[in-house]
Amino acid sequence: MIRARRARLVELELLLIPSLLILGGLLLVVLVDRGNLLFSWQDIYVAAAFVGALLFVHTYLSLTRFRGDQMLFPTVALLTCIGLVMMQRFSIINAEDSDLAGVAVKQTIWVFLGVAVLLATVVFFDQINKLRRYKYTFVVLGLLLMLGLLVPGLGQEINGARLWYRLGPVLFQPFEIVKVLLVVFLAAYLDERRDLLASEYRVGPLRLPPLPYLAPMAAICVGSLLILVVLKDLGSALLFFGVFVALLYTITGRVLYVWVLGGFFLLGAVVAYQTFGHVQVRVNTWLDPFSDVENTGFQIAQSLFALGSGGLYGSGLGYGTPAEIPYVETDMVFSAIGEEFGLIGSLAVLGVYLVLVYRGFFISLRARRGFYQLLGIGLTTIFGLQSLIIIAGVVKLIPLTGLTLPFISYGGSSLLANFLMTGLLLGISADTREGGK
Amino acid sequence: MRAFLRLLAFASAVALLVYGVLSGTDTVWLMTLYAATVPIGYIFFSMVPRETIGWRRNTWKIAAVLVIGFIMLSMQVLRQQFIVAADIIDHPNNPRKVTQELRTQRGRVFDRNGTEIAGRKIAPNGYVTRTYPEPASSYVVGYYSATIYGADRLEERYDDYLSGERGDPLERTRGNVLHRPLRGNDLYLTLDARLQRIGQELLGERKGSIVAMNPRTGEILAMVNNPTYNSADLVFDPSRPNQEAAARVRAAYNALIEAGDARLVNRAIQGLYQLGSTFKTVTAAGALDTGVATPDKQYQDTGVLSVGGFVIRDPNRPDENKVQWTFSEGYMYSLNAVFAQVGLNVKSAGMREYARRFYFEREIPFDLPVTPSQVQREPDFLTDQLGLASTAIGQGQLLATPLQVVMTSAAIANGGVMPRPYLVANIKTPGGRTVESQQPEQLEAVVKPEVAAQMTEIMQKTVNDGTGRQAQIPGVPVAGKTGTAQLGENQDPHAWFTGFAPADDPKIAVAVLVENGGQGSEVAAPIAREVIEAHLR
Repeated sequence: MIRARRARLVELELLLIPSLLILGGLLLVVLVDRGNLLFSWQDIYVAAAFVGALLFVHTYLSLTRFRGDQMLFPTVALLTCIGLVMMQRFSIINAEDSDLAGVAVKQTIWVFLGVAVLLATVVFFDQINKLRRYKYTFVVLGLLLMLGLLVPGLGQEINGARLWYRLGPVLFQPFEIVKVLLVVFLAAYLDERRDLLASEYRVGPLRLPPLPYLAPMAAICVGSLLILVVLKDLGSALLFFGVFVALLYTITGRVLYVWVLGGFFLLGAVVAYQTFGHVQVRVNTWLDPFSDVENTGFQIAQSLFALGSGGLYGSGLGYGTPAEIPYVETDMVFSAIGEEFGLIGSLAVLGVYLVLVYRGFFISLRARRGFYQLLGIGLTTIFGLQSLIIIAGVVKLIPLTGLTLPFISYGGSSLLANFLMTGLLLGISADTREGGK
Repeated sequence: MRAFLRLLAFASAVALLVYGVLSGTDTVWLMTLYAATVPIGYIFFSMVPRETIGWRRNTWKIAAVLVIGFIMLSMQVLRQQFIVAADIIDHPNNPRKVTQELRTQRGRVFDRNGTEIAGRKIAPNGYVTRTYPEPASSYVVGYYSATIYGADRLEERYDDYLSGERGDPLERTRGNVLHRPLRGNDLYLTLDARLQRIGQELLGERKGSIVAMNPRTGEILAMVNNPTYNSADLVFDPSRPNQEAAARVRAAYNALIEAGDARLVNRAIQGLYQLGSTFKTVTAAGALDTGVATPDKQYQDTGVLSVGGFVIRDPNRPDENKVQWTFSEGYMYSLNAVFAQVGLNVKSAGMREYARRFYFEREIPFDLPVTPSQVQREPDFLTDQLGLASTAIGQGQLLATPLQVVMTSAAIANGGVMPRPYLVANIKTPGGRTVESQQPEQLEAVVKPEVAAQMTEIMQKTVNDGTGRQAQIPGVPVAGKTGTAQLGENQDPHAWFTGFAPADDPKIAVAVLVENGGQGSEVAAPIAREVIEAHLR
């Protein structure tokens, strides 16, 4: 029994799902494009390499007697594999579309780099733990990185938002990494002041939180939010705000914080709506995308067309026309999945994210150290909330904001950050009292 | 207690969502969906184990909030992909509709001998171009101008079959599952593409129309119109960048309209023309059927006839000295004075009745919309003696389509029973199964069989010895009637001929109209002869 646990058989079994899915998926894309049943071994090289990478990580973890969670990595591998299949589908079947033609190769490279990052994070996890001492340094560096975007010539503006640095041939989106730094900071900060924050002092009938202790954190959080708003990155602002409130609530258990902060956020949203034209546009197209379907409502309308034409069972991989949706490879990838795999596919993807969230909280609740508990909750909340915000935007549940769908969307910074976060969660999962499950 | 509250919360959440779904509007749905999070939230929060306390309890609640978020997402996805999906994808701005339209392998159209009239060319990238290999027949089929002008004629009338929307649901489902492009059903027409080409050549530069049908069955064998157009000009190849091609199609269409000669009108079924003497067939059949005349009944014709104070002139008498003419001779030589008297004998009610029996003033059931022919424009025209007399000889306010005229002959040829005209004989699925099949039908018994036989004999005499001599074919008995519709001082008359052959065993009935062509006996009759010969050959 103990030996079986060490051999990580559960992980091996679960890894079978993404392995078969990627082999079948990538082959299917090639066959659909070719229109006949002829194929060569060349067609599955990428899939075989991906399976190889999964097995390599698994073997490494087994050989080093890694005691961490066995479900997390297969779940992440499954999501990554869905992303790879979709990117391959965009590149091969929409080869004439210059935006989509190159995404498969680049995404594949990023995935392999991401797996390397994951492994490195697990291997050097103990060292990373020590870095929490420099939390202020990290967070200030992170904020500077974000501020740098505002410097003319440094930040690259794409589609009206300055969210990228150009590093040679690649675009780097700093917030993807900064959000991890922010969560590390919040977890470390809150963990150190756990007892203080839970306390309160009374002024007459009012029970007030220990405001002085909150000041540094509040300053950093308000600062990051302001930077994100100035950068017009509302999705990230919402995401970061949500994670902040979640961690604060975890530590204090006080609903008052949630209400007050939620109130502030609503107020900010109203002010933003009044002030910024682009916020108004987002809200209006959310409420009625078809009133200006040629222009502002175009993207969300295309998304709804894709989802609707997918119906229950979908058009089948490669048989839809998702290339009509602007930014289908990044923000809108869920619509493409909905079109080609139908309602069944959409719900399945939602289900996999739920498994990821469940596993993240499970790991956090079993973690031994307070810092790890909070870090785990923060990272899991990012995964869950980010998926929620972007999918909700795509299906017209909330106004559309630009965020990537974790592990599935095309994007190097996003993939690397997600694999880094997975590595952290895996590291946390190994730090339990009874030593893993 | 807690279980009961949970049940209550669950019920209220379900009730809210059901109301949201039934209300139909997006805003109400979103409001109910957001409202439903309150009871669902209560259920989840109340389910956090009691023994879980402190930060663990808080974490459970955060997890619950995320799960509620995913439940809302699932509900919204369910709505967008299932409940309102059909409405959303019908939106005109959905590019999938256009792509699907351009990739639909539209059904082909064949003539009675299997000649392809409308076909398809499938590019390697799946886009389909409509082809029209038979320009003379493409006019009847109409055009299918994807994404620009839509469909016309048979292409429009049978669009649901041709596009594959209707047909064999099983084959369609199988095609969907196997991701085959949608394939439409093929039409098999009664039309003879060869006869169409011959008819088009015979008309040449002249405006006009030729309609030929099998009088026994109602199958339309030819429906030629001139001036015509080539449906292929209104189609572009969507498999390549098509800005220029679309501009070419628009230019071609505008040219058709600017030509100003009504080439987009299907003259054979939509053109209303003065009839001239071809209407005498109706008058004669009515007179014989009601018994007010026999073929040998004598009438006086002195070249003029005074009716109601007006004078009807008769320029058609072959012998100016002869004043006694039989009913048969009156028809053979198209004597106006004789037929004015016949008409007065039939009386206005009878005239109206027989015109209606021959389907004047009525909707003719057909594969394409037919303009009803007109007996009178003013409601009391026929009650007036002069109106009645001039109608009886084919003048007055009569207006008819060439199809109406050929059906008149077909009813006589078919023993007095009007056949139902039709163009589409069979509709077959891509798999070759027949889904629709038109059997010959009879519309109405117009005159007694004896009357039809008498009329056949008279019409045969008309071709043998009367005005229709130019329609004679050696060895084949032809029955027919000429017509020359006077239009006024400065215009040449319309030339008409209608008839059928062989008279003893009719296989084809024709109507020929040449607009402003001159004398029916000289212009229309020879064309009819060529058409009949070509068919019987």
